[in-house]
Amino acid sequence: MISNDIVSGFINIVPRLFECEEVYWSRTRDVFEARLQTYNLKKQNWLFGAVLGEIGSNTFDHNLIFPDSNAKGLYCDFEYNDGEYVILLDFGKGLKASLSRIRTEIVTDRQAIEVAFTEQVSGRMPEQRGNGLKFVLSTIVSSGWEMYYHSGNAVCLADKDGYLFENSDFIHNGCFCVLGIGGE
Amino acid sequence: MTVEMSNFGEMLLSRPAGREAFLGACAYIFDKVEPLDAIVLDFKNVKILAPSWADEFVSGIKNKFSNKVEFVNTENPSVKASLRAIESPIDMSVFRRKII
Repeated sequence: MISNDIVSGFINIVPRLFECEEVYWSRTRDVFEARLQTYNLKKQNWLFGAVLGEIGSNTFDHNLIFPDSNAKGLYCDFEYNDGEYVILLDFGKGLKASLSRIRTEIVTDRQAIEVAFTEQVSGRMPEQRGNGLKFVLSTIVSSGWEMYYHSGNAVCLADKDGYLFENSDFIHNGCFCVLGIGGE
Repeated sequence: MTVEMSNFGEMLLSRPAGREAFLGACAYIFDKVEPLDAIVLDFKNVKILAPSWADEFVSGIKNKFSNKVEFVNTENPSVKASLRAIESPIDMSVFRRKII
């Protein structure tokens, strides 16, 4: 699993992301896709590129309006910790607000993250969609990569041994993830 | 009918792009398909296929046409994984960490 030091180190700088260099922010989908294509051409790990594309697209699929206009879009650090990890973060509505619209029994962040990663469901019903995060999680585990995904106070952790869910003391309004692919 | 998917790009990412590609194909490619033709999607030279893009394109075809849909040149790992993801539900229970 991704170490606590890596995760807590990033969580400590989250409040300062509003002020960070604009180069880390993709305010719109087209900018994110252009940056992702540049990263993919450099790394040439096509499956990992598909994973990043699915996670990043969710920010723009589910947040047509951002609660805080200063934090519009997707924060991307493709070279976190000397290139060991990729970080994607948004200050959008988060999983619980998206999914509780169509699954009214969802009242906690933990319920929302478990449904998002394990069930075929989408906050954009009646559109037939909702396999993106299942693709992400199954690919991370199958490939032996690592993921820390956080929304609200709930966390999904994954590595070669499988995935599990936890609660966190840190509350993030939106979603963020830390992804690592080792030496690949 | 064979469709060279790399004509839509080497990196096929996001739902809006998949939807746009499907609509373009309906206007300029699928207008020539015969009712009994198989629609063969050839992924040669595609570097990345994301499941959201694939879902918009492949589901679009299946919803609009009754033709058989086939896939070729799917060795690329992102193509293989994304097609598998949209063709059948992923059983997530097999990936859950076993608590000892």
